[in-house]
Amino acid sequence: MQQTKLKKDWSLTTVALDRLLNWLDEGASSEGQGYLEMRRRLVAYFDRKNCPVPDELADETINRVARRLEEVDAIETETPARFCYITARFVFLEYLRTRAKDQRLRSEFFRESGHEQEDPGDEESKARMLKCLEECADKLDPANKKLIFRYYVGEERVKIENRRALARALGITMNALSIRACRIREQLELCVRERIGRGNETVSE
Amino acid sequence: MPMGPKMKMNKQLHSERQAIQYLLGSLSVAEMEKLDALSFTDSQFAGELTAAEHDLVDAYVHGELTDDTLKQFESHYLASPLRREKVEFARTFQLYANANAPQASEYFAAAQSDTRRPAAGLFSLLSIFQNQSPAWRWSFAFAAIVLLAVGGWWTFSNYSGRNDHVVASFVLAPPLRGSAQVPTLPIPKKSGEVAIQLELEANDYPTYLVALLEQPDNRSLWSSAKVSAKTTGTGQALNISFPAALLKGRTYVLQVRGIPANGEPEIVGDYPFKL
Repeated sequence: MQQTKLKKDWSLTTVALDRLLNWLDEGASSEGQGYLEMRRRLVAYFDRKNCPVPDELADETINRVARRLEEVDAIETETPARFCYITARFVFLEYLRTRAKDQRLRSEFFRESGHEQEDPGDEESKARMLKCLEECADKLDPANKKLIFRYYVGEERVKIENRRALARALGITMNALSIRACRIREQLELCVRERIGRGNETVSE
Repeated sequence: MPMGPKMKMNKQLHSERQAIQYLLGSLSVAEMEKLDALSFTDSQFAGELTAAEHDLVDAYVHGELTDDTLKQFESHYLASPLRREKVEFARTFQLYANANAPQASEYFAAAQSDTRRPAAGLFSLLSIFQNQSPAWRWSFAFAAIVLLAVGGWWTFSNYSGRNDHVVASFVLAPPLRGSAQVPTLPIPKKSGEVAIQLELEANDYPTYLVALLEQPDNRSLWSSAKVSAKTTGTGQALNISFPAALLKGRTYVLQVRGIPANGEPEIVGDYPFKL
């Protein structure tokens, strides 16, 4: 009983976070990139499971992993990625059980799950996203900016041919090109989301 | 559904189709769990999954998804607010990417650095709008997107002050099999010469012949001398040019024939275009 209370009240301390970062990096220092990547994977996992609050479940998973590290000092039976996945799976199963009990949350979920048609009148938000994208793109390294817009231009076969040609021009494989373009796009998307978020905060203040 | 570049999953031969099915939630529970685990433990798979997701969302935005894939996308993928945001971002991103295509054409420009004429292309005109209002720039961008969508080719017009005549230059991609779309080349009336770079799918011959055929009766208007393929920033291509005055009709085909070391010329491909 006491242990349950302790778990419920546990929060991520600076010491626990440092231990978690080191463990995720597996000896190499990524300056927090390993943590960010793991959190991104967790959010994507819960989102693919159609959880309405993927960020919260990702943070809950991270807290549990950090807490476990604090308890045992080292987790050697699994790799960090594997252990995070196992923990995430438990968090997801618990979420499903909670959701089943909570009718209110479930109805909210189904309402969320309905396919919302694009609101044609929301031109203002589109214009804002475009402006944010333009600003974020301007912050990119010029070579990356060139690459990303060359990579994603065109449709169907034209696009594929463009990518082949680009990979040849850069002297890298298609796979390497794809991963590079992906990272730049993710970076752009994150930047746009943050800017839009900041704009919303300003509006609501 | 177009799937984009084929993916080689690390160690296991997961196809891109399987990645798409995973994203659309249409795999069995066991398969889903297997890929769930891989999305954490295999960095290469995680990266390729993200790439497949981008291509899937872009295909939806372009209206390329059909039948069951479209239904699954709308019923499953769009069920998440976060993923709907990704679709919205993709729409905006495509708009911006297409509008910025001229910057990408620098890859071609670099490969064409041996050309004597300075490039001052149609797409370079976009830079004129960089100091204009966003409304102006995006209106122009929309026009550029329409041009790109029609043919998937790149165009720019050059002006040679030395010869005091306009040379209209274009790049034609290899023709799409089964495609009914014929690129339109906006050749200015004052053009004295038309220069075209024909991109090759493969460079299988030491030299080539190119013939300009007027449609619909395949009347030959012009034939090139033997030309060799040149390496460009995008692969191998043939550079040809002919007098603009030859173009009095509406639809044409540039027929490329490869000349083997020993033997008769063989047809490599037809590059149709219209004015």
